[in-house]
Amino acid sequence: MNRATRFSLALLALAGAAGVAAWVMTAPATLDAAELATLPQGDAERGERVFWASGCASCHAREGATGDDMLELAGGLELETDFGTFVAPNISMHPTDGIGDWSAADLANAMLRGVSPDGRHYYPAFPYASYARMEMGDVADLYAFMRTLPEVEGRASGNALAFPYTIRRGVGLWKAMHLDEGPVLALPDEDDTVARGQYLVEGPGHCGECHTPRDFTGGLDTSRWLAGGPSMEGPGRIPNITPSADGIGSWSEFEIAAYLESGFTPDFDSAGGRMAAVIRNLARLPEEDRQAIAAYLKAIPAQP
Amino acid sequence: MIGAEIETRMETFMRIALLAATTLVLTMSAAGADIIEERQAIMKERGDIMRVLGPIAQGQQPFDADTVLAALERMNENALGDSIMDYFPEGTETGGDTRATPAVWEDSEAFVEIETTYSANIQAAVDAAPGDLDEFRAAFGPIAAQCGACHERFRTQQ
Repeated sequence: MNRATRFSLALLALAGAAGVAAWVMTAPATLDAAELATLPQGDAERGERVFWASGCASCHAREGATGDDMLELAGGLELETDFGTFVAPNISMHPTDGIGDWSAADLANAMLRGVSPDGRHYYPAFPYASYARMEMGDVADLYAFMRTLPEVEGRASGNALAFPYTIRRGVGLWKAMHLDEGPVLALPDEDDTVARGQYLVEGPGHCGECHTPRDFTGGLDTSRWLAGGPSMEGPGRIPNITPSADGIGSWSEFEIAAYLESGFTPDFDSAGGRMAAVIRNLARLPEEDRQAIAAYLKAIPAQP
Repeated sequence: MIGAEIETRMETFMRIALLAATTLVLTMSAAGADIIEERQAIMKERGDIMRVLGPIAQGQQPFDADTVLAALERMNENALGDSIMDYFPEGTETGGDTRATPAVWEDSEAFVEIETTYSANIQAAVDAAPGDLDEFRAAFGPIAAQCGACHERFRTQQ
């Protein structure tokens, strides 16, 4: 073996090692046995509250669904983004078209780790980066509630993404950068209401997924938490919802809570676009939850 | 001589045709701008009425049957029912500062249906002439729900 051959082989080995390292680093990581052991028996009644707080129906019910139609989780909603078009799947109780054959652990891995039952990454259009902050008990309750929902036949079409986003494994890299189950903000001396609001907004409510601008890697820029920014879905801007002049600083807690229930701003304009479906979810929550969200939104740092 | 006369006639004809075409285009675009302004004025009036009824429904202002009925009647007059597309003719998809989405024309059936439901719910509220806050809320809820339903698909984000 001459020197050049040896050098080439060494290079190849190095590249191979880097490849293996990258492969290992990007491997989908599920909850471990000890974590799954903390998954309690769920309660469907409590789970309904988690369902509305988590906004599942906003993407997984048919577009524009109201009333009981919001419980038919057929999927099909298309999110057109710079990465391509994401299509929300059927998550009804249908055993083959939906998720009727899932265990509670499957749901926990999907929501808290973004990993499917067959061990693949979900794309973060499914907002598990927020859901990762949810409590095990809430996931168990949500599972129990979802078991009571109807089976809906039919599969939504798959995502239509642009290269290189078609490489699902790459999501592992994104998760290494952006999946963090800790709270976004440290709010010292927060009372129980603000703490509940923080949990709802940063976790199940996944408000930051639209209302916080993203950096070039597609992760949330948490230094600009809830400051609004360009819409991921083409033209238009998502409003700043921090207590600043550019945001909703002039809104009282009462007005924020009323908006979350009725969709009417203090000026009695009404919410439109994607927010209309969000309101239909939040309107189903107990009043104290909307008040908690309002209290949190008044307690966070104002952003220009 | 005859050739020159024809030429002059042609010129005159062309001038008239050009003038007519220009006038037509100008009138059409003016009509388009007018109708966009007109429909925006209708929506603004809805906002004005909502600012009377909304705070009462929310318990921020006291319920008064006469005030409520007067506002509902004004709302009834403002509602367009199934004639709403008269205010969204072809050629007014863009222009002015319209916030109408392409869906208004692509799915006008759904668009008209929301306005028709909205109008029918207002008529029902006027007929019911709410006598107390609970009656008013029951009649007002189905009206207010149509605002968001329509803005969801048919108004662009700011």
